[in-house]
Amino acid sequence: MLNEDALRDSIRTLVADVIREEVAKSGGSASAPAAGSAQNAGAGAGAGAGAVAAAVSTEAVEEVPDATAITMEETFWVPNPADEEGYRRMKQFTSGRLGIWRAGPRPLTKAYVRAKADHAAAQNTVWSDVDEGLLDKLGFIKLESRSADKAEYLKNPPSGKRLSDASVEIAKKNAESGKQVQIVFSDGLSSGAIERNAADFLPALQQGLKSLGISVADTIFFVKNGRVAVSEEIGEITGADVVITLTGERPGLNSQSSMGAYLAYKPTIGMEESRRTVISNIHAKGTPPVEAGAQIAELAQSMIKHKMSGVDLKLV
Amino acid sequence: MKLKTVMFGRTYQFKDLNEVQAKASEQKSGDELAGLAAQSREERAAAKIVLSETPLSDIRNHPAVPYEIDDVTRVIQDQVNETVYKEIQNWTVGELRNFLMEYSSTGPVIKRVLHGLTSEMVAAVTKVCSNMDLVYVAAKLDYLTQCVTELGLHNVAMCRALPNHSTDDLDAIFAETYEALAYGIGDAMIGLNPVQDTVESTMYLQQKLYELRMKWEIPTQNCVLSHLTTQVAAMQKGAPTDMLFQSIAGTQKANESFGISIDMLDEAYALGKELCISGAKNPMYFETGEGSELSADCHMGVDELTLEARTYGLARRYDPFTMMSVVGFIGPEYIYDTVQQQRGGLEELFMGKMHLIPMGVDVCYTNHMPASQNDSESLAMLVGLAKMPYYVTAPMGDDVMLNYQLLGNHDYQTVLELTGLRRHPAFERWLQKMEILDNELMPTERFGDASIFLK
Repeated sequence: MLNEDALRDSIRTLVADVIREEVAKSGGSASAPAAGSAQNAGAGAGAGAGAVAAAVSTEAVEEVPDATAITMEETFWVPNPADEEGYRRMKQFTSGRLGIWRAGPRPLTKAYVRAKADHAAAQNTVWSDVDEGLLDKLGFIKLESRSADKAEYLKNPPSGKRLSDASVEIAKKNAESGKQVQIVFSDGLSSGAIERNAADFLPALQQGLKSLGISVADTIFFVKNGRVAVSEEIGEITGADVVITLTGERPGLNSQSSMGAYLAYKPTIGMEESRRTVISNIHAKGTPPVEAGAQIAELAQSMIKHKMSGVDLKLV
Repeated sequence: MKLKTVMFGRTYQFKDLNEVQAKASEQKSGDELAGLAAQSREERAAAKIVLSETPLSDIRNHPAVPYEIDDVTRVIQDQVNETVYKEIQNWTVGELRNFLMEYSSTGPVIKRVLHGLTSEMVAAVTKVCSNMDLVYVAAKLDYLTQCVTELGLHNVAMCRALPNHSTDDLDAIFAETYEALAYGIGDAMIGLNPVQDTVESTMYLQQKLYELRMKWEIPTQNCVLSHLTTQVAAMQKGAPTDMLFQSIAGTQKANESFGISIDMLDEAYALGKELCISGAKNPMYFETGEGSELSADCHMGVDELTLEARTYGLARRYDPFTMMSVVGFIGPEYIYDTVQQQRGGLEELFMGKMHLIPMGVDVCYTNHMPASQNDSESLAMLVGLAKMPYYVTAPMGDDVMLNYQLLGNHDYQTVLELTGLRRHPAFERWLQKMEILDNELMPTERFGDASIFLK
């Protein structure tokens, strides 16, 4: 959920840091604002950091509670419902925004600003890049697709399905031959999906494969602005039997960090979609990353045994 | 054929009518992706000038996809009323536009002429209309259809409840439906997109939605939007079916990729008239979207607006109860941003009405489009001015199953108040009986309280 979103946290930290600096400069002694109020202060910081510093130094910082801490299932704002207990029970069945009441015909302010926050987070995860520090920490080999930027990536899907010329060379230089499984990550439509899930997911997958006696390349590639099909080219370069691709799924208002896993047996450039096997919805509230790692290792084993993937494998 | 012009001393030459049509189209990412779009603003303007001087007969004689190889073309060409066509065949596209705008061209006057047009002519005139032109003409045109209730009444805007859930959980589907009804939503239909596309599941959901409708005596109709073949099988096994749904496209190949054919649609239409428990005169319901042909790699070198018009040409064969274009749903590679979404929505509403269909637009976007709820609300007000007869909404505009953003439940009531449009009269009376609306048709303290249905 939102309050767990790493990207968002990092923005908050950044804003808080800026304010701390400004406070220090102006000689103020106010403590750094907590995450909840950083966003409000952040708006001021955008308009002019000096103004914020002045405001912070003369007034005590009051914190607005984190509006995103409550789930949509828990949210309930109908003032005099016919059956409050029943309504609250009914809300547990869906994450749809039920029981949010109105001001005249319009949504209440708190429903409106909450939706703005969720939409902002959903769009941010599409338009931002995975933290470079995390990629370095995980030891990923960084590649790029042929998309020059996010706009081209979104408008021109074929550009995200192939590696740039420079990245082809990097992939060739780092490829480990003779391994049964190659792991590839790409940002897809959610950088947050990789940031939130990769670190937990990866060891579970690697251990799962090893325990099944399957060899896996230590080299893991990350493709910036990469669609699922970009791993076909990596499959051709490495010659692995199975390529496992982890990518960010299209964000919704209630799930901005969902990761999808796509497996293919001996993928080739431009192959049919039906040759891929998909496990979607990998995130803390869907299939937990650790559980998914073990499940995907078993799927890879089945592909190696039957020498096929996708629809064909379903029919076995 | 008119394929050339000079503008500001520069010559613009086009190889055929399809190129003129594609380059005259307003900017769409899908046409750029297909390599069909104008290369510059000037080239787009030049193509519009050439298109505006093109006689309708040239468009009739050069369909976007040849008659011999495409059954959608055959449907469109064969349903033209030849008598009306002969009267107007010498009009240029520009003259057709002027005719649509004239004060003397009232709704009935325009409707008669529409029987003489092909879908490609409708696409062409759309490309020489501004946004306000599209709204102005659309507002003149009403069509009445009938399922359980009517749709398309004059100055009536109806709305679909969209109770989707990621596992088809019945408790969740009912919760979403109650919420919609409590906001006065659901007169167009209670229309569920199921996750499971099986006959058993479709039968079960049809039965449960039918029981809900009967229990509360709601004057509306239900739809379970599984594949047409699934719905027909369920209906033949006795599922209480009000109407039959299918996604359709503008080329034979694209329809094949959807697993349908004209024969299948013809058969379903006949069976629907016979077996739908609604007694519908108009048992079909279609959904469409610009880019679906390109997405299926079946665009045949034709721009996405022309293909969308051809889709409506196919739909017209079945006089659908209503139809909806999901304007921002297919993806940013086809409709990129707010500007394209707004334009697309107005074009589709206009073109649907120009095909004698009470058209709806799902005012929507996905989170990977550069668009926002503000943009959708603006478009909602514009289609309100254009007297769009059919809306769809979800709580705060969030479809938790299909993961896209549409209009919110609150937005529908607001558009009605702003435009003076009304719900279906029978549904208004039902909402009054439920004390959700008062005698003046204004929301009561129960409006927005879904727990009134928990008994």
